[in-house]
Amino acid sequence: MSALPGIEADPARGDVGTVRGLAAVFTSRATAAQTGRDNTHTALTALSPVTAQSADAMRLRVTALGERFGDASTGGTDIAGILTSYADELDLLKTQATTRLNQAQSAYDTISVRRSQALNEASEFITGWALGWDDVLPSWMYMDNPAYLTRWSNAIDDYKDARRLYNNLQATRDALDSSTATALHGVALVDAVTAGGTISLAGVAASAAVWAANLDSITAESLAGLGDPELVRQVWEAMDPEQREAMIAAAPLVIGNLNGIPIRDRAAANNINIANEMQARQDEIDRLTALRDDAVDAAYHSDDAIAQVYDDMIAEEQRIIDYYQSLLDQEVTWYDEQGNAHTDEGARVVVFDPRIDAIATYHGAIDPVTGDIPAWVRHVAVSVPGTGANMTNFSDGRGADFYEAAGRYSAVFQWAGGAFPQDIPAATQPSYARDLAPRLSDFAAGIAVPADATLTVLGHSYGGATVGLAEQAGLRADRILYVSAAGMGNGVSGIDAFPHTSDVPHYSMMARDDMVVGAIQGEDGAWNAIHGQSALTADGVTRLETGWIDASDPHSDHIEDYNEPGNWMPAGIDSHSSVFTPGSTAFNNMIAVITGGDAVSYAPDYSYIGNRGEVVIDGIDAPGYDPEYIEIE
Amino acid sequence: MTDLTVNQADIDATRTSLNAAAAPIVDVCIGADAVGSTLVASAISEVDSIVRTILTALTGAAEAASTDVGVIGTALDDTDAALAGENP
Repeated sequence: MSALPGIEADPARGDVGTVRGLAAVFTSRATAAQTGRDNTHTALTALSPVTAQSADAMRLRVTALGERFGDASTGGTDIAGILTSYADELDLLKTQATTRLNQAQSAYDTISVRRSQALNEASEFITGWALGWDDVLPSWMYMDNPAYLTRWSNAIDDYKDARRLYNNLQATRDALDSSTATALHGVALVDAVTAGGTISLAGVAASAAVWAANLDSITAESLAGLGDPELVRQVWEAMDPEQREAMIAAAPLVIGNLNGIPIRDRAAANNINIANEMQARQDEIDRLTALRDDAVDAAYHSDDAIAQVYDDMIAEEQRIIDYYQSLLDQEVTWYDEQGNAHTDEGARVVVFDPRIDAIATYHGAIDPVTGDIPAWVRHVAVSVPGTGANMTNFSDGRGADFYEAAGRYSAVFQWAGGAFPQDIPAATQPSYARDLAPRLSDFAAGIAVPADATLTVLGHSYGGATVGLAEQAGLRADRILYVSAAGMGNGVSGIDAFPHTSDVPHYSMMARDDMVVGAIQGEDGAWNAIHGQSALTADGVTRLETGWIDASDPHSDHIEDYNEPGNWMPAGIDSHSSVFTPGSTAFNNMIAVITGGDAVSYAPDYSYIGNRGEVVIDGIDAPGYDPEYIEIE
Repeated sequence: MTDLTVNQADIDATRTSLNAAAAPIVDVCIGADAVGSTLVASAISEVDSIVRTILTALTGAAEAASTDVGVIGTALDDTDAALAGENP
């Protein structure tokens, strides 16, 4: 292709392959830096058993170093991404430039054709020599059909248009070059080391050395990135109080929900999260109020009906705000090692994440030094609620009841770390439990259980199936208790399915007439066992008695017969939850499991031959029934 | 106060990982002349220089950390030594 008049330099000049090669170099560096980060993580794990003040300082340093390697990796990836985009754009530009240049060439060739058509050989010989490529004979000189002259002139204009389109690509290229250069200079890594471009290349070496060794580089995200709660705890403890406070303030949603962070600091972070969520709800109320007022103003009729729709939504937002406020105002009673009662204001919220409907509270003493469970505590429990649990209704009081009954040497978490089914149809689905299970396992792993203490995990109803799936997912605990459980988890056939808890004691209980989950108790695989093997009949699981609503009074109602006052539900529905009535046989058995005491074993049905044949009665009604106590392992 | 536990095997394992992190990352200085834009070529050269400097600094920091971890195993700092004295 010959040079065309007025065509400027190639706007797509440059080797795209070279640009992609440069991107690959930065990707390679990013990968290498990521490996460096992984190595620092491995180093941190190896350093974990070393306890010395100098090791604590080193933990901080290695964590910060890992953070920096991570930053470098991200920076390399960013640069590679910018260069890849540049190469892609350059490729596109090359295609456009080629197309437009071809169009220009074609238009230019057309000029010759039109000129030839307009000028005969004699005219060309006489006057053609004096005409440039973009000249046309004046009309007064042209004696032939003027249409030839017009087509000739148009061909010249067409070429000029095509040429302009091609040359315009240079502006596109200039913009691309400029934005790419700006993007490269704006990469966070480059920006950090050059202090936003204020440090010259000559000063970068010193700046990078300081940056690489800067202990302040630890962020909440890098802390979370450690993954292992024990590492998180060690690094957190190695930080000074000011660093911790700053991190809580900067990233409360991360710290408040990060396993390995001590209870006191999680609670502090979550108080911020609760306040933020309340403000967000208040903003929503303000928005809804404005919408309501506008809608009512614009309505011709049914003002009340329109307002009611908004008022209902506003009331729901206010209900949530009120509940969160009640958490902040909650008076919490705890006991020190000597048994002295103390009262603090504010629930200890150790999980609070509205993004995933997660909440959990802690009931017990907090060590003033570590901010976590005191070393003298002997019994730690995690209680998981069932269907209907959500962020404003997760049976927080149950955790308080457990703590109060289990005594000062206990510590109890009430955990609802994600979305639970809110009604029975949803509760037939195992998907909620599958999502909750790994979170429960991780949460339990993050608890700083004192060396001489046991950890019991118990789940009620759907929470029982959640506990089973958490065990399948690797939960570690010393005891497991399924309370009125929907099953041991969808697809779970027994405790052999549990990698870390198959050898720990398992217990279960359920009222005999439980109408909520009674019908879905069965062997795993049975048509009705929608949440796996029943915990009541599983091998290796000891069933405990639910007994009487007042364990101290054998004349009180059986749990099966007890009607919760005022809810108009049959006893068979009530018994699903009345097992948690403090002082009942069922509740006392739960406490026995948590504290390692003596529990009443389940009394199987008793049968005898009556006047009309065989009669089957509850085991606790059998003549001469004497509770059989078993020692919780 | 935390009991003093310093196991040489743990120290060695820590150092091994830090030494791995200290392995040189940086490759050759890259040429960007063929990209077709002096502006972009200049920016690439600049970030190339900065990134290489950063990676060198990081591997250097990892090497220094490895050296200092070794010190934990051989000569406890004063506080630790005092603690060791309290807890023979």
